Amino acid sequence: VEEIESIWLVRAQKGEDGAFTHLVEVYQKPVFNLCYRMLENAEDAEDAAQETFLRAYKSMKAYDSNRPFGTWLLSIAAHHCIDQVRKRRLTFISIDDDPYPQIEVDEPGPEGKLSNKESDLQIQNLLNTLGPVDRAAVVMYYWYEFPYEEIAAELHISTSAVKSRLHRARRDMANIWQKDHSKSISLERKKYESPVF
Amino acid sequence: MNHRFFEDRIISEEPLTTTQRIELEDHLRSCNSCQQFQTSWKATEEKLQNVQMVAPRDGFTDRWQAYLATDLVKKQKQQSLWLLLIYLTGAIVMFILFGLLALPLLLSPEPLLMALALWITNWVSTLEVVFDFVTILFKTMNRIVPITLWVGIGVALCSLSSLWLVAFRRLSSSWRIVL
Repeated sequence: VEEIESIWLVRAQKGEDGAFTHLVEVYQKPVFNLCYRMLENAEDAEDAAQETFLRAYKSMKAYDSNRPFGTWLLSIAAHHCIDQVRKRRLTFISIDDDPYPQIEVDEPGPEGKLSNKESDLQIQNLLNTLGPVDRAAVVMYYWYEFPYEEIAAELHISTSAVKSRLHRARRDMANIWQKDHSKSISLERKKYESPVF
Repeated sequence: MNHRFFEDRIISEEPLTTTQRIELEDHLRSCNSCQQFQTSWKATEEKLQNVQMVAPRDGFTDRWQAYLATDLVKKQKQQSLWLLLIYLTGAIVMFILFGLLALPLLLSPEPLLMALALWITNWVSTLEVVFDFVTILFKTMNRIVPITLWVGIGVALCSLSSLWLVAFRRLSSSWRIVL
């Protein structure tokens, strides 16, 4: 797969539009997902993902082929989204008003879809409480399973800063979850028999 | 009681030692606040680990191609505007410089008009001299060369012209030109 990808990459670097379109086709989902997790709604995520691919297309000749293409793309997307979040920080956007994106679920029933949507909204609400860089770190860590070093390289911060940001984000998310679900926590507690993990 | 110390252990990604684990278990048995925090974190972590990847609407690649085309048009428009701006600035600068140079002449045009009149007079007198020279030359030639010689020269020139035309047509015909 890597060999095939490198062929497309070489062709795209030579300026072949068709090759780059193929890369867009392959990487649209991870890029869109990162943008959606960062920007809270599908419309902004679509714009950000389009912009990410445009920036990548323009900087294709500067791309270092020793680096994984997907990681490079996600880094561009993360930086663009961080800028977008900072720009509109004072503007309030309701999630309910925005069109909901396609979530690929295995279960076909409407209940399954509904519970996925609810679960997704809960996570999205938690992410929204974090700062843009912390949010990017959480998304890269939990959705893409990037190691600390890679997150640090992509976000241009130190590895220890990534660790401390993730730690702070976990604490913030847990606290918010606790506030939102304070009534149901006592019941949920029974699910976990041992007090420690 | 220091809850934060135990909360840090609850959310830590680093594996706990046996002693740390026992300490945490002991603490959790007696601390309701930390128990609630642990339950919250476990639920949050579960959601984070199980949440689905979100895909864009169908036709993303087509929309991207349209986005790229729009961006190219926008870029071309911007370049054209910049070029127009540069030309306009150049024209304005030239106009100002020319205006600064011509201002004294426009304020008092007498020397300019005098120079123009002198230039026209010079040209007229030069043309008069050339005309006189040509007239004298023709008159002199008429006396020296007899009329029959003039006719001969005319016929010879006509023959040469005809010969040249025939030769040109033959040489430029398609069968002679090999590419």
